[in-house]
Amino acid sequence: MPAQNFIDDLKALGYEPEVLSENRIAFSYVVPEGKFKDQTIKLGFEIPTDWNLTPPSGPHISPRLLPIKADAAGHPERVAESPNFGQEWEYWSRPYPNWPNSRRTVKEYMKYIRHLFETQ
Amino acid sequence: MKYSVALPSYIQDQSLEHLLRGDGQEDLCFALWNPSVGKSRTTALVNEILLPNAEERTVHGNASFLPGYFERAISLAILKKTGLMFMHSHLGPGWQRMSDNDINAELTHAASTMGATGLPLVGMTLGTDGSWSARFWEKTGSRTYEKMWCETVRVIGKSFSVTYCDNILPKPKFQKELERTVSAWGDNKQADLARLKVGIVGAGSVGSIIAEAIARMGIVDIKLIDFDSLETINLDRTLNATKEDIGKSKVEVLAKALRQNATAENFKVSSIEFSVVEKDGFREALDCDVLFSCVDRPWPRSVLNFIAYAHLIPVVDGGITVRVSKVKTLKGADWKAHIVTPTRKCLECLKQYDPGLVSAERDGWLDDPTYISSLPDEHPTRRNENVFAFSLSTASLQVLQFLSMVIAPLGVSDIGGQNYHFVIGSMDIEEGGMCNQTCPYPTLIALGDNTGFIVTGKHFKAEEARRARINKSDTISLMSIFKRGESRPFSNLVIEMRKSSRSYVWWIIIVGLIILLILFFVTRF
Repeated sequence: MPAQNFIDDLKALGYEPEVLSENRIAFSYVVPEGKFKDQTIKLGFEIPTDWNLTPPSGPHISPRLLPIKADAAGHPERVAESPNFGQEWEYWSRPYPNWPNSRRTVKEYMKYIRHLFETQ
Repeated sequence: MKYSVALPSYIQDQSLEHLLRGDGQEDLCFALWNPSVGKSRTTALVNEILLPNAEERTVHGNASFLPGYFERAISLAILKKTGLMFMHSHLGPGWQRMSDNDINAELTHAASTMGATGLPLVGMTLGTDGSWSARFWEKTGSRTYEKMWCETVRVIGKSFSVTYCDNILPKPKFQKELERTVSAWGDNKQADLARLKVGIVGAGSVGSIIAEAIARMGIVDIKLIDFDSLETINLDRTLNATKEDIGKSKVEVLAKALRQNATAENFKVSSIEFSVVEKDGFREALDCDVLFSCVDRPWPRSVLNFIAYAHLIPVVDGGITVRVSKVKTLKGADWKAHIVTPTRKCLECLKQYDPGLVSAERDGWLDDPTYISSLPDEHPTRRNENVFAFSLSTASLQVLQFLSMVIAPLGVSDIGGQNYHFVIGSMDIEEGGMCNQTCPYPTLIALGDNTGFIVTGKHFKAEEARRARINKSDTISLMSIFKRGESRPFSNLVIEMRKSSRSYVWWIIIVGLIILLILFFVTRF
């Protein structure tokens, strides 16, 4: 099952994902780079049911790091509410650019997440 | 339930090589298949041939298999979680009947196959011209199995061919309206074309024109799949739509026009008010032999891409891109058409959609005006300029791609992808080409319902559109009842309201009236 594959691959990378609902997970993440470096946050994903044909649409983050600005032009400012995860979460809509040219792995996706924090 | 079989062209090639012997004798083999279950049709997708070892079958004019071969085949089917298929050849062309021996060979293994795999045994018989007949052995009683003949056996790949079971899908009689069309390519080709079940996914500008074209060409069975309602801004491009149709379902408006304009006897059109990304819309699409992709969003395109490979249904796709300067002058307009099917490039490799945006659409972001307005001007999701003439040309290219594949004049069934540039009036052809090496879609060929992926989901905008149409229809019904029925008995009014409205609406009104009556009596007494 795609969700289980994603979870297993996250575990193989050393993370401990908690399953919040069928395709929604969250896990502890230490921000490696950027202005939030070394902060421990909760990172959440809605795992697509057709992972890895398609990647998640972006990370959900708790506690909120940035002000909500859903109409901002894009990264790094666009931040939306995260109703499915809860009031203490925010959502960064960040479609993965050029997914077909990637290896389509969780490792690859987490590199992208790192890049998002690096460029904050 | 109807039945069919589909096989990729490389499986067809393997089958022909083994089963059509040079010494004029019959032969046999087993194969593995995966189910593709649509709304009203189950298809067996053949994905692996299991050739016999030397001692596993005997050839004696006819052919017989030994128990060890069946056991090996069924073990593999269990291991790979597939169904089991038995194939054998006959010594004549065309759709093949079954001899008593053929029936006995399949019937005696139907129960054990069902018991072991959970799926019916499928039997196939090959004619010398590459035509097939096929049947599912379904359990119809506690120890009874009956053969359910397949309507069609389709071979999908570089070429596209269909063997029809004429008893189930007889050759249509052509009316005078089709005289000129039939004279272009002959009765047989027209019969093959007309009997295809064609799905049009997206009933907007391009879809409405394609639907009109194929209905006039004599296609008997068309399925229209679109959740949306007609808006004023659609009227400059949507064929047959008028101001009176604003707010109506696009597929209903189109279906009404097709019923008037179709040339096939016993023409049938289905209006499916779902998106292909919704489970109901997806299952309807799986009933089709060919799908036209007339959508412009990443999620439905990715679903159609998936269907083309996993479910072996060729998808005829197209798209229009219009570039406008900041001062609103036309800088360029291009449109393209191509077919996706195993052995051709998929929609993702053709860059017809960005898989990174599929989840964004699934989460509803591409319908959020705030999100859309924050995207760059040149982002494909923001581009919505279009002109009837552009849609007309795109639709034409898509229909011609379809005809090339099906009619294959002079044996040419793959003319390559076409890309037309309006400003300079030139056409590029993209010939051949396979998917990128890392593309996952070729690994899904003929896996059907066994891919492990779920590509469908809730489509909020589709649900909202259907609710809005129901609410509008209820309001109109109630208004017309109250205008007409002031002097009728109350009970008749209730019955009429129940027939015409959603049950919650009439319940609210009845309960309200009862409360008023109670208050009246309480205050009075």
